[in-house]
Amino acid sequence: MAFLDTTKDAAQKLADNAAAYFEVIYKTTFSFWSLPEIPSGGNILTGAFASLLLYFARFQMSLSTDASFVATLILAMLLYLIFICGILVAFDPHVETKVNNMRRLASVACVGITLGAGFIVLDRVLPWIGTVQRWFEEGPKADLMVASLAAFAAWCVIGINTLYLTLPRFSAFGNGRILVWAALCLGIVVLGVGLVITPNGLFPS
Amino acid sequence: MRSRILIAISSLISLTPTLLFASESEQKFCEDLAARGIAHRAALGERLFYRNETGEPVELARTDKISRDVTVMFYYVHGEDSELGQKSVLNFKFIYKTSKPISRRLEVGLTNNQWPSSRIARIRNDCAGLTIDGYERFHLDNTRSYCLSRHFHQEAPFNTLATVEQRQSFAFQDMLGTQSSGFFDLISNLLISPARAIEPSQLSSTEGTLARSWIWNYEYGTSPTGKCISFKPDFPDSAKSVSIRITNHGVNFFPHARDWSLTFLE
Repeated sequence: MAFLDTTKDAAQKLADNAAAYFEVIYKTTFSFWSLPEIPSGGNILTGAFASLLLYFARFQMSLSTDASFVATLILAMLLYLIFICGILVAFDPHVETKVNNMRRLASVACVGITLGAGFIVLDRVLPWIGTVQRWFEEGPKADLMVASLAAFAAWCVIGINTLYLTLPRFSAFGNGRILVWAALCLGIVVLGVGLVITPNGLFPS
Repeated sequence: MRSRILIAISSLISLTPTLLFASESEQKFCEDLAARGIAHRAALGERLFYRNETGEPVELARTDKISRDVTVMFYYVHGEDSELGQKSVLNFKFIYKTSKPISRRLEVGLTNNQWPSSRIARIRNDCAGLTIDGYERFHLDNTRSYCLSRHFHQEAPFNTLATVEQRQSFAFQDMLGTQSSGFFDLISNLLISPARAIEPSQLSSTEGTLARSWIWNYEYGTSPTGKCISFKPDFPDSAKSVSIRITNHGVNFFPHARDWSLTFLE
């Protein structure tokens, strides 16, 4: 009986966290300060899903998916998000609770990188990377262009969501703060996806 | 001073394909084989040779021992009459084994004898970090790799990615003898041992030389005694043995492979 109760509690907790996770996904906008409080369980699910797509994006780009290396890359990505989001949030005078908002911004960036990785995985069924690589054959870095385009596509999805969720109240284009954070988010996501599909990630040869 | 060193390094890199394949005259070696009655009109097939200390050609058996001092090897190809003078492609694959098992994180040394020297530095840069894991996936799972699709493989005079069989023939497959670390390993690494994620022993500086794949464009030649293709294996000091697989795509674009498993003499 006690076992059944424990299982029931665990299932309920998982369902709550999953609900929190999907709430984060649906409400992800560039105005991260207005996002609801994210429970730790929701953050874990966001990170787990990001790790999964990061793994498959590297798989699709014929990069090493060696377990120990990818584990290191995911931890490095987490540190990158915490540091970059922490630093950026510190410069916004309108953000009151810095740590909570840093977590929210990291969550938005994480969703962006996950989506970017998702666009790379999408190449499996809808080939687009080969075309981009041919376009930028003489460019400085074809793979960096692939990362930038995937990140831009992810940024557009979040942008559309931002417009959808904020337009009823006010014009996003009339709000300079949202535009500044949108531009910063693009930078964070481009760098993040770039790190995922750079051959050696954070450890260039 | 720094620029001079860079120029010297880039000159060395630009010469790499020449260094790998230029050696004793291939024709002379073939003539020597013919004179000794080894290569003749009836000797169809493909065989691997080297010259011993006394200068005599020695054919390598499928399982054999070889001195580390051998610097040049010859691949003897004798096609059918209908193949004479036609173009084809060979793929040389080398997996050098050390006392440790082969790690999928090893980088693959790539060469294509069509690479123009002016692009070698760019190609080396684009292909840096290509691991055995990624190389295998590109050839077996049809994934993307800018380095492999735009640099290593070629469309003319022979499209090396024309068919699934050709694409797969470039993979190392059973030469590796180890299984890929999968997703469950990743999860266990994340949950159990993130602090031990990188093992320093796996990142030795010699890793880049232990797995190689070369594309060699050649013509069957017009001599009835066959064609000898020379190459420099450049055996690494740390290796105990080497698995060599040479795949000939023939003129019918149907790849067939031959294997050698060689142990180095101490």
